[in-house]
Amino acid sequence: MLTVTIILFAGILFGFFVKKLIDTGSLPDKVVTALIVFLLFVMGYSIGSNKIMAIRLITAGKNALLISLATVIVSIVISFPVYKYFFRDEDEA
Amino acid sequence: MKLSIIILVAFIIGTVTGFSSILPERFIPVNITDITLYFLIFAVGFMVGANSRIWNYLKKKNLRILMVPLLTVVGTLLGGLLISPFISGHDLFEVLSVCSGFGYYSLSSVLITGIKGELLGITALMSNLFRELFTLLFAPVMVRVFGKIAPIASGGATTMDVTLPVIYKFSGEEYSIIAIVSGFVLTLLVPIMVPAFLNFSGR
Repeated sequence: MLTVTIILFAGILFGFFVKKLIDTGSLPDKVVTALIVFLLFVMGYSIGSNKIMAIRLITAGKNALLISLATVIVSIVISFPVYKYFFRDEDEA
Repeated sequence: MKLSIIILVAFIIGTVTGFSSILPERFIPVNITDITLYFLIFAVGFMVGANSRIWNYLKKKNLRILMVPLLTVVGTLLGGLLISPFISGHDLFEVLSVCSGFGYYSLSSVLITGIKGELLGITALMSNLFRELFTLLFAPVMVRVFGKIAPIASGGATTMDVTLPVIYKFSGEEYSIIAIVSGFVLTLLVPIMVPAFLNFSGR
């Protein structure tokens, strides 16, 4: 986690100073899109190729799926009024 | 929507490819996920740093940003409370400890395995991995139906790293700062909340 934090802030600092020197256009956005697609492929590959994980996935998978669905659904439902009353108005202004 | 379909297809192709062992065993290096993630995080950081609009937005929203991790904690624990009766073999506090991983599957599963054993640890690993995957795959739908905060609430602690790029992409650049702050706060809470709930477990 520390590595990720350092890389993130290095990127922010680099972007902050580089913007004054060159115009990168939409290139970083395209790079991010390509990397997201590649990351998902690799994540799928590592899950699929780990047979032990695949077997245990069946055993504990039902509980895990129910817990993650419940936490995600309730979290995003609660986020709606917060977005509507505290963020959206100013976004639209 | 087009991108989310491409992402979903990439994930499915990856899973099928991995399961069927079509590729040679070491075709994809073991640390390629980490390396890709580091590039992604750097690229997102670069775009955040290069965009002065984001910093103006942060000044405008100030302390309201902290409402986002707060609502994520409330929503996550409420979700765990509601689903707990349907979870076989684990009590309420064990379920809440799994929820308190907030998507940070590596740390939460290690903590839980160490305190409660492998079965709950594996459940935590998968549950928090699913949370991350749901956010990556369904972020565009979440934004359309529940607004721009929804993928941040869904992503939990992962919004400062893995899910940050999709939040940047679908919620907008201003929300990436909120995502970083929220992810950071929730990441700090994981090692506090997970053992705390397990401490209350009667099993």
